[in-house]
Amino acid sequence: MEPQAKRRKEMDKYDTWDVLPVLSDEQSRDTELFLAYAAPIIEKRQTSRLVKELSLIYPLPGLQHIKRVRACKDKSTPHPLEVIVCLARDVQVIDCKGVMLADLLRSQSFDSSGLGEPFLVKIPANPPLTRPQFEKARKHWPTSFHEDKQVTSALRGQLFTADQKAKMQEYMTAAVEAAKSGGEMGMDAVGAVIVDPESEQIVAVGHDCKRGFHPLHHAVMVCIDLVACGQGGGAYNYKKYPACRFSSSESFRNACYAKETGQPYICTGYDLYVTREPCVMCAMALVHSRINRVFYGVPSADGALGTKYKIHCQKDLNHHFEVFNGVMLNACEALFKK
Amino acid sequence: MRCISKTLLFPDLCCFICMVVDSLRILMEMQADSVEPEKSDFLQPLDSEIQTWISKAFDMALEALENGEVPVGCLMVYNNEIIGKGRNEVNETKNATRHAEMVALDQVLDWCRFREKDPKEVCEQTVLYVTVEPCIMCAAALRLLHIPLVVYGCKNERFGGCGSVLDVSSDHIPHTGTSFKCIAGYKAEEAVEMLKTFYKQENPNAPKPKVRKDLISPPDGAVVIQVKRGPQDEESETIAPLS
Repeated sequence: MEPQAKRRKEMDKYDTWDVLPVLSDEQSRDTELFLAYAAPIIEKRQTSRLVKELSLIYPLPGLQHIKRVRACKDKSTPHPLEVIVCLARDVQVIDCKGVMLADLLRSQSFDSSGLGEPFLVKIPANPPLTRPQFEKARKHWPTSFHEDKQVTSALRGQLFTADQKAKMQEYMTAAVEAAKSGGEMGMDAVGAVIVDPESEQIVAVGHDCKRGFHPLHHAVMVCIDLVACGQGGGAYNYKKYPACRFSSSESFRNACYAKETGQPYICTGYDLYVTREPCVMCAMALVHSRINRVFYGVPSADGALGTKYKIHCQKDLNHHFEVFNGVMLNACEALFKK
Repeated sequence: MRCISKTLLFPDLCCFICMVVDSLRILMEMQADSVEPEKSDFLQPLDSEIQTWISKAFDMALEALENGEVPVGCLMVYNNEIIGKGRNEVNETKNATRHAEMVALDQVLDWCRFREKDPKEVCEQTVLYVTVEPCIMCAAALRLLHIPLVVYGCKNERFGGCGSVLDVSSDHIPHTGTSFKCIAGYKAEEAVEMLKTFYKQENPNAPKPKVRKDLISPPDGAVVIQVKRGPQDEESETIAPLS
């Protein structure tokens, strides 16, 4: 059988799955809105003067993403443009429904000719960081948007090619197999694989061992130590667990660091595939180990890469990495249920 | 926060020092009122006991320093007996998770196995004395093993899991063991001094940092660390701006 066809057949064993990014809160939150007063520009030729003078008396600090003027949605209206006068919180008015332009500008020396009576609008409080946020924000008021094409494509599940997904499937299959082996030995069915994406080699395979001799031997912790074993270090011996194994760093080289220092350095440049979302301990262990990327199948209750925390994009920490989930979702979920 | 990391060979931890120095003062002030009355005796060790144990933890930290490891040391005390002690073994094992606490917890588990005691029952009565605030990983590990109390020296602004970066010690994470209490500020200054001493040396295991071309690196990989000394000379002892 052709390798490609064989691969496709392997894929058919599972339902199709999408790899989705686990983004920061800033990137995934709902659009927050501020109340603001806008007014129609009745004389179009006054526009530039009005905008200039309005931004002098009512600058909108922290709202650089907001476009001060918008084209009128309704083509039948007599005025083509509308402008933001001020934020609702910037003025004190008694009745915000019947507010007049004079109420907003009373303390200012301002030539309001060309400006119509104000009305309330909602404007996005933060600059949109992703396309979905942008789409939502612009329904309220136009904003600028500096699109990160990679994030957009990741959110559509289109970041990785079919070949890359086939590779992911191969690695996650190894993690699922390890999880099953662990499960057969009475452990939690969780498996993990660490891969060197440069050489496309599996560096270490581990499974949960916490019901064995050590309650902290979660699959990820085991895998990290197995990588250390492969580099001539390591703190434990896994002879009791034949499915936990590593390749010696002699047989492959972490290309990007080997060139500089001649030896791989902890998990720098490596990717982790794990059947379920790591806990806080494991997630922070991955930060310390300088992992490159993490792919997991299913979320977990106190998970620290998306569910309870987002350690991978935690500000203040010295190392950040990309996290994706959904890889072989059904196969990973099936492990969970057993 | 100004960051000096790019100028150093220890990109991961160097900012840590000046942050630690910054927080020292606050901690000193905190120490007086951070101790709250508790029901069980072991949860409220006497000040003299704390002084004794924390000094022994510093001996461990010194051992780490002498072995080229980040100088953090700890003790696990159960019924007035040391049942585990540890110091950083990261470089030795090439495993970045081999922090002092993790090493000491291994010994506690061995101690329990040898005496056929239930680790959970023992850990629930065990106090950790450590020179630096446990990191996020160690804080989670301590929760998973149900350690109820941690006494530590200085804050860990870079990785701290007991309030500095995250509050793993007291957050509501019901599937991650039990929360624990902290008493902070014992010999904090000494802990910082040790870390400073360590970061003045070269870490032979760290990867070469990507040095910016506009910065001249010192000869033979020598590191010049500039550390803020205190609030009064904070401005005069500034870190080279990296823009």
